[in-house]
Amino acid sequence: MVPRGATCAVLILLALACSKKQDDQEEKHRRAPEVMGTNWDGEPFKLSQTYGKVTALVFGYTFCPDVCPFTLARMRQMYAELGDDADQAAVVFVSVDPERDTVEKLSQYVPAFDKRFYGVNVKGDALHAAVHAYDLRVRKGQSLGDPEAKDQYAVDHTGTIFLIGKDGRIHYEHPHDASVDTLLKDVRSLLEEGT
Amino acid sequence: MLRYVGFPTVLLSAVLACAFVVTEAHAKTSAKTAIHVKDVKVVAGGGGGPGAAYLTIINKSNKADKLVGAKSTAASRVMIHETVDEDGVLKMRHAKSFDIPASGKLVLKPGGRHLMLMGLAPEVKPGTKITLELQFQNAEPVKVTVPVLSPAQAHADESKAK
Repeated sequence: MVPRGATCAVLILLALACSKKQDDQEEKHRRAPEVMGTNWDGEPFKLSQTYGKVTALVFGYTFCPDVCPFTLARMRQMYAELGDDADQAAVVFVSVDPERDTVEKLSQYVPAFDKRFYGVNVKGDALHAAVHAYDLRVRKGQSLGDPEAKDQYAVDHTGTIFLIGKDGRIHYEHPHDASVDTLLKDVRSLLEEGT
Repeated sequence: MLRYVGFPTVLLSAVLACAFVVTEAHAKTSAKTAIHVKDVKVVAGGGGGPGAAYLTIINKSNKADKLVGAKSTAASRVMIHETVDEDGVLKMRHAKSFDIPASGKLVLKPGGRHLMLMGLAPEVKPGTKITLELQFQNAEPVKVTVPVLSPAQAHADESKAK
């Protein structure tokens, strides 16, 4: 016969352990901060609308010819490798250069990789907030091309690829040049885990 | 210190179309210093957007050389650039030249050293070709003619090369 007090103590400990596990999970995988803007198709976009899918989130700009096209090309290959599972995934490209990357320009850039990709223009304070929330560093870089042309400049920016689970939490952060195999492994893991 | 710096309000009038890639058809050689150029690729934005050229230069002579410039009739300007990764922050920078060691090679590849093509002609699209002239400190210029590919094709090329 187990004393009633001992049973209660065990239940309380179990409850505390579960709570602790949940806290640890929340501590380990922070919630992906919201990003709000306009998608390349002109529709309003909220990152939270992709919750329930496994999302790859990247920040970049279309004037960048050297890195961003290759990151998106790898995403395109990742989608191809996922096959039918791609429907359970999302790729979100957020411009850190909203003045030049108008919705119109994004509409001619992002869908060329895959029409299912989001290409988001986020303006002003909302972009500022997202940059801070994702611990990014973004700064107007060197003038490029014609020194007299004020619209030809680089944008220095953090190239991290954020992989967000179905739970809306950031589970993995990879460098911009992470291989398709690396991304696929983690995306498939998140798809299978149901998170 | 994490910081976001605002951008000028200037809007780019030209619209950036999908990125294109150019790769060389044949390797070319400059006899004077035995400069050999191969594996040329260019990733570029259409509609007047910028592009980036990648290539390998092999120096078969025992004298070092430098890649000091490039030009193309398909671009208003070609510049020597390097993307550097500083603690996860990607920065694109001008460079005056790239060294080509004696009996060595210079490799320009995505995410690092590249040539940036500004003001690409609107007709530069996948399936077309452009000519790129490479200029060296010592060697005679080398011209290469390269067909245009999509970024996905370029990525596939990169994957195959690994």
